[in-house]
Amino acid sequence: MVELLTTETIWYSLFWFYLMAAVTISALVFGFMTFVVLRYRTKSRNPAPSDPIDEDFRLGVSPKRGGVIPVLVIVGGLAVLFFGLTLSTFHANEVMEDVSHSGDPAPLKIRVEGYQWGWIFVYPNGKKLDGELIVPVGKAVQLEITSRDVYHAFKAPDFKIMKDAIPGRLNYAWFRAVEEGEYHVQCYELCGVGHARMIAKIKAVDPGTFQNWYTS
Amino acid sequence: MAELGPVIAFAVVVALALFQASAVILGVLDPQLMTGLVLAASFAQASLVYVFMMHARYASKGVLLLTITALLLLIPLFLALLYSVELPIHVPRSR
Amino acid sequence: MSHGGNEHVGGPNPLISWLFTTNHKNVGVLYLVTSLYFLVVAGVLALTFRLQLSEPNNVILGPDAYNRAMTLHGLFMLLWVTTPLGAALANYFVPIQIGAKDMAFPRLNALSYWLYLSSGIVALSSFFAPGGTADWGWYTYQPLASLRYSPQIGGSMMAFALLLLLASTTVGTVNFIVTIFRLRAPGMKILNLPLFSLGWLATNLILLWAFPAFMAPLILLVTDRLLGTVFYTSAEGGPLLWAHLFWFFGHPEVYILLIPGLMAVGDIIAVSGRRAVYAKPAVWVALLVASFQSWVVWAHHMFQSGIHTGLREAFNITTELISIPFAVIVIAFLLTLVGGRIRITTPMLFALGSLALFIIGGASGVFNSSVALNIGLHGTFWVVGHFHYTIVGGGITGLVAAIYYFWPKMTGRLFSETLGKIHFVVHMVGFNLLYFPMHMLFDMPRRVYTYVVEAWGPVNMVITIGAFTFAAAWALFFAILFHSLARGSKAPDDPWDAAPYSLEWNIPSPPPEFNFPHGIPSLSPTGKISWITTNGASPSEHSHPHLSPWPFIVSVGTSLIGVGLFMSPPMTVLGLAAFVAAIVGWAYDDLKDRFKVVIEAIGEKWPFERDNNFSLGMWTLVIGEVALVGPIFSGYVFARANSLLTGFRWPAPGEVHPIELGLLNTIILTTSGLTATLAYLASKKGERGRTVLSLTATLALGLAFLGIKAFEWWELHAHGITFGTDIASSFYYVLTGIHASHLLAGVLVLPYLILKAHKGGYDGGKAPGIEMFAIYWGFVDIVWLFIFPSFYLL
Repeated sequence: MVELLTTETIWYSLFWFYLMAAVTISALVFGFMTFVVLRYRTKSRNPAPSDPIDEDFRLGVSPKRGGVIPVLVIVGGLAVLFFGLTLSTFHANEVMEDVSHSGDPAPLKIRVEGYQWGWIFVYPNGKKLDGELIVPVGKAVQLEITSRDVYHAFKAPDFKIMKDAIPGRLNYAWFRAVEEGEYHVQCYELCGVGHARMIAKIKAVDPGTFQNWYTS
Repeated sequence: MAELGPVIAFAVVVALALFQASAVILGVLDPQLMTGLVLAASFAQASLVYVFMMHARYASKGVLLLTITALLLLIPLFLALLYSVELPIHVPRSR
Repeated sequence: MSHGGNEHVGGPNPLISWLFTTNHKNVGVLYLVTSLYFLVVAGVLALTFRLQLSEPNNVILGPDAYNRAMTLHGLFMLLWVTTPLGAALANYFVPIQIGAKDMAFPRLNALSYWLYLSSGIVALSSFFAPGGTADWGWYTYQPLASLRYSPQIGGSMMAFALLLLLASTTVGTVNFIVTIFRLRAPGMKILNLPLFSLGWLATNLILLWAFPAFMAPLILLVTDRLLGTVFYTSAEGGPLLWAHLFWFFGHPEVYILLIPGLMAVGDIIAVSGRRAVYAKPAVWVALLVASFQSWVVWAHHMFQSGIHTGLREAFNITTELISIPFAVIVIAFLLTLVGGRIRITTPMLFALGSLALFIIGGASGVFNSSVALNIGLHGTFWVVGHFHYTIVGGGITGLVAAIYYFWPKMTGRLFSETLGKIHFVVHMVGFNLLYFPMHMLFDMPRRVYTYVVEAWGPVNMVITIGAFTFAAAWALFFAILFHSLARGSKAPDDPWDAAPYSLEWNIPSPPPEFNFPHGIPSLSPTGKISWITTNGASPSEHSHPHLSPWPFIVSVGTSLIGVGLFMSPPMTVLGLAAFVAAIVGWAYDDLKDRFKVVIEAIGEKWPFERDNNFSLGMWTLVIGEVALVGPIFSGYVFARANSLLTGFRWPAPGEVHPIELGLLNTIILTTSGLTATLAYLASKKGERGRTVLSLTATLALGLAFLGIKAFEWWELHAHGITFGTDIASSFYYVLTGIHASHLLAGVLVLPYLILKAHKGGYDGGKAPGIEMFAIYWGFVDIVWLFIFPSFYLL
């Protein structure tokens, strides 16, 4: 059986790619920094004023200091790196944004309404749940996110999906639960005194159980 | 005659204002064309005031540089706001 | 604290000289003390909520108190601490580094400080207003911050305090831009400036547009809250209008916080390594490129708001690219040290530490710039960790290094190197313990007063321990500074052997009132400093006129107005009286030519050789105001485009606003523009009669315009069209209101100009007042030339 595509796996593989690049580059810079400081450190409190390097220590621009090549190397190197990062980002973004990439021809469409302070989930057949979203395992779920009052942000960290819930606007996200269980949902944009308690859960159940509940 | 520049500029600005207003009142032009003409006239008026009334001479290069920078900085804001007009729905892109 | 330049014999008593000072060094010290005080306030607030967050389901702070503490912490640390901390050192050292005796406008410099203090007082007072202060987070998202969801009066007070602060900063920015461009010593070309001054110039170029750009959405917020306009509550404007306008300011602001510290680090590195900065032209270009780029990255704060995909991808790319100029700067700093003789002093340790922290912050920033990764990171503690690494690590730690570096010069005292090094260790340990673990909480939402997920508990405990360690580092810092003041040994003029590198190390510690006792500094093309001696004229004879009470009294007035407006009406009246008295007193001083500014005629002025200080000041101000008016106009376009989709019918031309009246006003205003210009030309020729006549005509025309405007407003009100009728009326009232208040300010200045012209004060162009007025009036005309078509014709 082919493994089903999930948003969180796409996100994590991209994250590791970025992390690798970041750690490598920071390590190089820190290594260079440590080397330079240790290599050129001097213990003597008073360097001799006759020291030849003193001529180079002056106000203004020293013509002897610096060429174009190191600058071009930095700019070029980073540009190439960013080109790679950006391509993979755009690809990941495309998949994470658009439910048609989920491979599910008929995703379950849920309307999510944030309010001060909670989440309401509306199913296509009109079923409405407050604070809990029940979904069948393996099915792609498309969320249509909006708000009834102030600016909220819908996020389910386990699936790495997020979209702001803005009054008057609709935003979309999709995810797929591959294992049964309960997943955390919370508001991620300050929305008043109840912000910290604006929590809901996604309950993933097996398709049969879901069908029974949905049609009951 | 240092005053000549400002006086001529003033005359043109007023003429353009009369043109704008009469074009709108008479309503003879195609609406899109009219919007374009009205805006173009405003930009022309603003440039005339900038060059002839605020300086009464040509701008120093520094002032010109600052002015151009200020106007350039606004362009992305206009674009971004226009691209954010997608009410009531943001349709996910698909290929 | 040393009195810097105040040690002249027979001067007024110290309290008066501190309150009325206009000397840039004294103003710098005032800024330093005040911003550090606000740092302690905002820091203590952070400790309270770190305590609350140390464990899940804690009950030390409730959600109300938490939200207020967190909001005030953010606003204060960004706007009342970090920006002014840079300004403090810049006030003290930029004039010295460029070779000037003082700022271009010393009284305006004092005014900036006093308005800053007054805004801080109003902001802190809002804490005690009934219902508490703003509790909507520093970025004030709408509609949470609207009157409907946050009715507390303290919120409006905070918005008013912000407006005051923006006014203060704008005045300061204009002053610095004129100073740095036109007061440089001979040979001191822009690129020859030390990095700190160079960085401060770049910072001010950002500030010039960033703070007016913040004023735009803020004015709309204030009118929404106080007058009932519907910018952020209607479907046509709404939350995204605020978000765009706010972040349009908000992201450039980040670089305002970073650059002063980062560039000070560059100077300290060069001095400690005894090497000229590597590839300095490249550093300057990188700084300029970054300053411009800072204006095209803001929408990455809105990646989750559902804006157009193409727009997000564009901002993804611009945001990534902004790390390139900073990479160039960091690597240039490291290459500076190659081949040097590095002395590890306390400032150097902090400089290297700051650079290291900034590198980490820069790396984590690249993650956030990715539209896809942003989905997982946005709104979480990862982001909190990231921006503290850049702002506290890159910006503030750099400024700590700079305070240590400049301290002996400011106070004439050395500090304990041993204690300084201990401080460094505590600072770095506390910092990393506090902010690094935040990256591991990339699933935990920020700005929650508590959390239920037990797994987040231990990391939060570590963070809280780090917070207290970091606080201890600050306590130690202040102890070291006090210790140095009380017991420190006397500092030599050049404690870091930096005399060849920058002017300030060539003058006494602390510097005398007019900075350069050896004469006017000048720089040879090979970087040698020499002194042009002035013949006999001792600068100290200017001492007494250098006190002015008016900036201080303006500040007393605005504080009273600010607090009184929301808490006690009589206080407002008192404040208004003080304010008016100060303005009149200031104008009277001017009329009598009582306050002399000491400015050398020689020096570098590129690229403003053809302007004078005053005209350049006015130009800078009005060009800065483009960033106030422009965003409001773009908001208008946004709302109008939105109304096509929401079904709101925008009034047709002539339907609400009579075209004839608009046209009449256009002609009146343009005519007044012409008379203002003619007045300027006549005054230059010394034709006093024509000057007075033209100015009087301008006044009459200005009043006629305002009269017609008032009539239009009255008519609209009579027909039931008020501020809050719809989005169209909101924009009309606010844009014409801003315009009319600008015009009113000009009209109020005109009688003074007429009086002074009548007395011959402008004959032959000897004073710049009318020229400044003509520039200002021209700008006001231009704004109207866009308002007219926007509301009357289209």
